[in-house]
Amino acid sequence: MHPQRRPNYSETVVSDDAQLINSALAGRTEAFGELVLKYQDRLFNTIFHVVGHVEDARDIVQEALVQAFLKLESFRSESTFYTWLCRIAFNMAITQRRKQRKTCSTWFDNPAKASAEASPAANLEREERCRQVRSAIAQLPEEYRSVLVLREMDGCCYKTIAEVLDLPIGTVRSRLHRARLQLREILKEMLSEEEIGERKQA
Amino acid sequence: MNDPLKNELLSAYLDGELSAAEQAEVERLLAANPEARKLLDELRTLSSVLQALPQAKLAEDLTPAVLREAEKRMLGVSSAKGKARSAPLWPARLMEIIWQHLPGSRAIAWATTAVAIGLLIMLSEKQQAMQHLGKGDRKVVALAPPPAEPALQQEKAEGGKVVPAKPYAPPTIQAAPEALKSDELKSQEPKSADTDRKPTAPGIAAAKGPAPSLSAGKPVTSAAVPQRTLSTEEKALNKLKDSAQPSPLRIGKDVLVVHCELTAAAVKEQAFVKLLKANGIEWLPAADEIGAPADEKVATEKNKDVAPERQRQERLSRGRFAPEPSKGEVELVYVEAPPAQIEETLAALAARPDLFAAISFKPSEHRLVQKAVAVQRLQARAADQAADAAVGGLVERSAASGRNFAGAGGGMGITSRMPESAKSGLPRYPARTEQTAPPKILGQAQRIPLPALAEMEETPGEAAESIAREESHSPPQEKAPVESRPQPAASAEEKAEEKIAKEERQGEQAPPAQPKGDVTAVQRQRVLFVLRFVNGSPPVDTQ
Repeated sequence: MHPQRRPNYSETVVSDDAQLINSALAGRTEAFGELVLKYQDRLFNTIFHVVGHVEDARDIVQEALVQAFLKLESFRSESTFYTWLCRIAFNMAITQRRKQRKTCSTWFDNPAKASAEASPAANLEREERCRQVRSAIAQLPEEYRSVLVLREMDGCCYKTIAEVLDLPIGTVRSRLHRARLQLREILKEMLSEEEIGERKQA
Repeated sequence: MNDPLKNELLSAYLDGELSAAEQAEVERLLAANPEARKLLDELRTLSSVLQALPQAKLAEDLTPAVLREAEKRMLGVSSAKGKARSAPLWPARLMEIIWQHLPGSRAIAWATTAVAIGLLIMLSEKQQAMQHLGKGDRKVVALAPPPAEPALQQEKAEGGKVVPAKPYAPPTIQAAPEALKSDELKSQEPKSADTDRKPTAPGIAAAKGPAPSLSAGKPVTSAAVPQRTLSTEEKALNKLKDSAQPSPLRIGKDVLVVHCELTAAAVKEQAFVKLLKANGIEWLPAADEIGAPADEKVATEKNKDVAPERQRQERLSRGRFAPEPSKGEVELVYVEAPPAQIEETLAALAARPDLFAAISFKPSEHRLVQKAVAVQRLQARAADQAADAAVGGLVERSAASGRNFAGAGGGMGITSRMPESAKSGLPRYPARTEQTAPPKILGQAQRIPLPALAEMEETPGEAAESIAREESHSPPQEKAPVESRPQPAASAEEKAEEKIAKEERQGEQAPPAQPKGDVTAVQRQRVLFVLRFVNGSPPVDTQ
């Protein structure tokens, strides 16, 4: 009902993942390498938007992958591998955040670094808008931000979000809605321009 | 539009996360309420703005970093930097030599490394022991006992869909005798100014290097026996790490390495063999029997067709598994069994300090060790209460002696030793056990051959050469009475070892079928027992 450019992360890859996991468990580490390649960017994008810092996000992703490798035996196929991995990473992000108590000022301080996908000729306006949006996300309370990022950046369904964050689905739903309302407030101006633009296009 | 619950429904409606009833409700609301439509529009816009953000991507493939780090952790090596690189030569060479002698599978390399590390650890411990005691009358002999590789068989048997239970496990295990030899040579040093023996070769010297400083490590259990420290093992591992070897290490954290010292009595009674059997772990056929399908063998065993079993037992006792107690000897036994079996085995092992003088684990925090510790403590308590009840089965006969698995207080290994004094007077291992019905066979054990010495000699490399040289010069003048027993001709032994090794390699290509049924179906724990035969124990009466 809404034409959204949601990342196309098919959950039908589960069986592939299971094969790779079994291979890795059987001692073929290169199979785990494939899993790393497959998910590192997706996870990085998500974690980056949660922690707001490229280096931290990278460290968390790497550590989560290491942990996943070490604990692979304990992975149960009840959830997807990515959900499980995500859960590890989010737990780490929380732990790290508690340790570091980073101030928001360091957040998204260098978004250009992270947005390798942006075309080199990306216009200033677009970059500025990205910065605004990311900065707005950073202003959300952490519990809202996590839910929002998992939904909007990662395209997770509520059930997956609930698994990753270990929350009841009802909580996911209400947090997500509050996150959106808060973000809407922060980005009010920008959104109204956006809306006008959309209407014009329509 | 002030009802927060309905608000939430709008959000969920946008995400397509509503039940049919809820959806109908929201649609009614939207039809009736322009405010709700406006909010929905805004939420939708917001959503598309968020999703239009460029994807953050990593500039690099994290795989190498991830695997490297995981490997370090599995090895128990802390990522602390700045470790002294004073003596990396020895382990580096060792690894190189092992690597050169392997058929090339990564998994084999893994296993080899695991064993090599085990040996390194033992080496350091032993060196230390000798330094403390000054008793150097032990000798380790090159060893290469029979059989085949269970894990590999299993892996192949299971084909693509391997049970996701046993990660990073070694399909087969081989190991490096240098460690033992150099160790032994070293251990003889304090004993006498034996001119025959050359001073330590470079490689050995390197290995020796760290030992003295290690004694400053943690205090250990018994006065009678020398110390092991956690840092000893760490050192050994660090050395491996520092060796700048582009190593193929993939140490599986789930392979439990158990070091165990067997007393002369244990050797004589084949206590270890019996212990495994008593705990439902059968011995896999030796290499020369591999031709026949394994199912058959298991069946045979279960059908009390005792003849082949007896033969096997005889071979076990005649062969290298029951070495001359005067010669220190190391045996590697690879066991795969359900965790419960392993647990019981460990508890049983711990319950017989008279036979198994010292036990240590790596990793010490392994869950089975933890469990076994608990079991053993329980049993110790029970045993205290039941004072000196008659000698029962293995597990029942627990640690009334107060011997415990040393606390798993971090670190990589734990050690428990029993004072010599406590050993005497303990009942001997009950001559096994037709009284109790043998348990269902649930696990399998196999001895692991070490590459033959001759092979190692050929490799260019100071370590190997010097070790070989030393070996050939080492004088057979130990004192103990047992020592006068005839020793098997070394060359014959070596030949046999080579033959076995070859056979084993062939077996790799055409692995025998894996026993079916519960043996493969159950989740299995893999354990590598590093058995060391101690001759420090009181001389055993002859048969």
